[in-house]
Amino acid sequence: MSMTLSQKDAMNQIAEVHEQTVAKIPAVVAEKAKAAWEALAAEGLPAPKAEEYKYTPITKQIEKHFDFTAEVPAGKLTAEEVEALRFASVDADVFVVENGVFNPAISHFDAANYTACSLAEAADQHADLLAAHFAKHPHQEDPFLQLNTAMTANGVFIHVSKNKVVEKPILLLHINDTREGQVIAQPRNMVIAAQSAAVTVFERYRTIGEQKSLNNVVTEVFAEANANVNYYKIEDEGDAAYHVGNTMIVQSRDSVVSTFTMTLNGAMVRNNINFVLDGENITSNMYGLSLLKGTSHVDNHTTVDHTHPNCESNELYKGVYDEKSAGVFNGKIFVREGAQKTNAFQSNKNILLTDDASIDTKPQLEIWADDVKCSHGCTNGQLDPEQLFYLRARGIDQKTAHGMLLYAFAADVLENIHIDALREELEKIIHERAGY
Amino acid sequence: MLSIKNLKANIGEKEILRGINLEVKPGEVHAIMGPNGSGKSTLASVLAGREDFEVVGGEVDFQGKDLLDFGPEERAREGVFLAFQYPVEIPGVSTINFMKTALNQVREHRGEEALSAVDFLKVMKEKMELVEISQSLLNRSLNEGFSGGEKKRNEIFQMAMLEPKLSILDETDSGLDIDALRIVANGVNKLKNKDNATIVVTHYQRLLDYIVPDYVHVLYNGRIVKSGTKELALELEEKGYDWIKAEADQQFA
Repeated sequence: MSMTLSQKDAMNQIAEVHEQTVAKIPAVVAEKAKAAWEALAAEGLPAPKAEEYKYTPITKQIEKHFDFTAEVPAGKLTAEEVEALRFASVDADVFVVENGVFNPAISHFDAANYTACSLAEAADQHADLLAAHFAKHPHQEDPFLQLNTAMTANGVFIHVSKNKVVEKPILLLHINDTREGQVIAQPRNMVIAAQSAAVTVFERYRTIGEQKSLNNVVTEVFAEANANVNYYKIEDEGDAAYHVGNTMIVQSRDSVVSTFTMTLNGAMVRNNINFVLDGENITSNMYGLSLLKGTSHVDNHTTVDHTHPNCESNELYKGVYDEKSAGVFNGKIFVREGAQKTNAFQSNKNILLTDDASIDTKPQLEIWADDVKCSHGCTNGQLDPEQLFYLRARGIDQKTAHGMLLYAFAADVLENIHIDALREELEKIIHERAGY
Repeated sequence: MLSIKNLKANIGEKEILRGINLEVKPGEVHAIMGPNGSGKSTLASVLAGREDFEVVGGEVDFQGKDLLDFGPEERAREGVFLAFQYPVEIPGVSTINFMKTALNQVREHRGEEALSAVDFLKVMKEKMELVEISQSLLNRSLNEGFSGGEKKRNEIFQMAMLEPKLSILDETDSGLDIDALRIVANGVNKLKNKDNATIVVTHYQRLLDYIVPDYVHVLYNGRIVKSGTKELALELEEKGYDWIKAEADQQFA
């Protein structure tokens, strides 16, 4: 692939940082980092016409705005700022990832019933676990995933051992502090739920300061046999933030994993969620809600790979796009030969509030088994005039009626959030956005 | 209370109402009957302010105000209520929350204070009994998954809550079983008083055994072609609409 001059510059910067990185990190991680760099160096970051990124030309933005070799400011977050940036009403173990690096000093957690440490400590203290899981997801082809692996920074490692149920939600609070300069953060988190373990992890992304930031995050989630994992991601980094997230999920037999991805703003946001269903009788649920305005852009790419029989995946993504905001949805479902009796459902529903808002939606089903139930559907439109008329015919003014319908459209995805206090906080945000 | 003069309305290029005249006084019940496609539901919708129709002529005076100047919400606040033929399902909006928002906006317009949560529940309980509707139904999303009868009872419940001056029941009886019909009619009759009026739009005479009209009008081809008392409804039941159609076709040929 030919590269433009600026792309070479970015790749040269990355090469430099990669070499510094591998020199410092444990062997178990370094091997993967080298392999990832080789793959990335061969292809480069996605070119403007690359199929997977054609609606989200983020490489151009990165080249224009960021320098990988620039020193990332240390971050000066105080405990008070951390409290103000999380949902204080949600009782949770709080792990703060500051400018891409886990900072225990401003985190607070009991870690009752589970093991938690930085990824670097895990490489040392839980080397076997890390070797068995780090970059082990079968789909390693995304360039930004490779970039993260090649330059692996320090995120949070969570391990829940067999039969343990973690009651308290775990919050991975990612804050970029751009008050002292631009931030490029590339945190790497890992969540392992061993056999029959249960845990809820939610990631919240915030920014403090006005300067630009780039988050290229990877979270690897492993649900072993019969485990239950809820994973929620709430993006609220502001309009100077660029974000690429790769959530890599591997499920073993009889496990249930439910994800919820909510995007509230961002200069350009790309979320890749990548499920591999590596066993029978697995359930995978994916929910998403994007509420955008201004010129924000979100791209949700989801992949569900059914490799074994008797599994089920459910997907519902909704979006409300106001002003000049834009959405992209791409939902891939693979049903491999032999993955008989697969049930796979996908739905994408969007409301465009202005003529300038846009959505590109593409379901992509590839099915090699013959005894399966798969469906997909998408609706893009405005609020239902019939519903608006009904509310107004009862005396409700147009603005309130509009808000009630928007709220109702958006809030129903929240039913799938199993932390009551978190759901209430998100309901408040939707009320505010809906103007009702 | 309501004075309609030569009201004409189109949908696109098509003329639906071709000159309606109707006078309704407080305390009266008017039935509007007619064959399918005659414009009955259009009349109801135009009065409630549905924007799919374009009013191309005539006047509608409601208590001294020009109703056609108002949007649907202002009409509702002034005291016009449309019980929908097909109440729309609104997932995610709870009936209670919806009703509270609507009632308080209507009260504000009347210069009354918003009801407290406690007072609202009290009023609601009272009105629920009137239409034999259960709390569990009202806790659900508006009309979502309601049976036909439940939807119609919910319409009358809303009518009871909002205490309109003029209620327009659009085919409220169509498709109801006899028990639901009795409940709905009973609710409407209890809400009737000397200060309010009701327009019952129906295809079937049966409803008029339960809600007894003072006047019956036959709408055909966008015009009221015959008016009478409740005996007219019985005559229609017996003889069908063909004789009226023939008369009207001759008159407007």
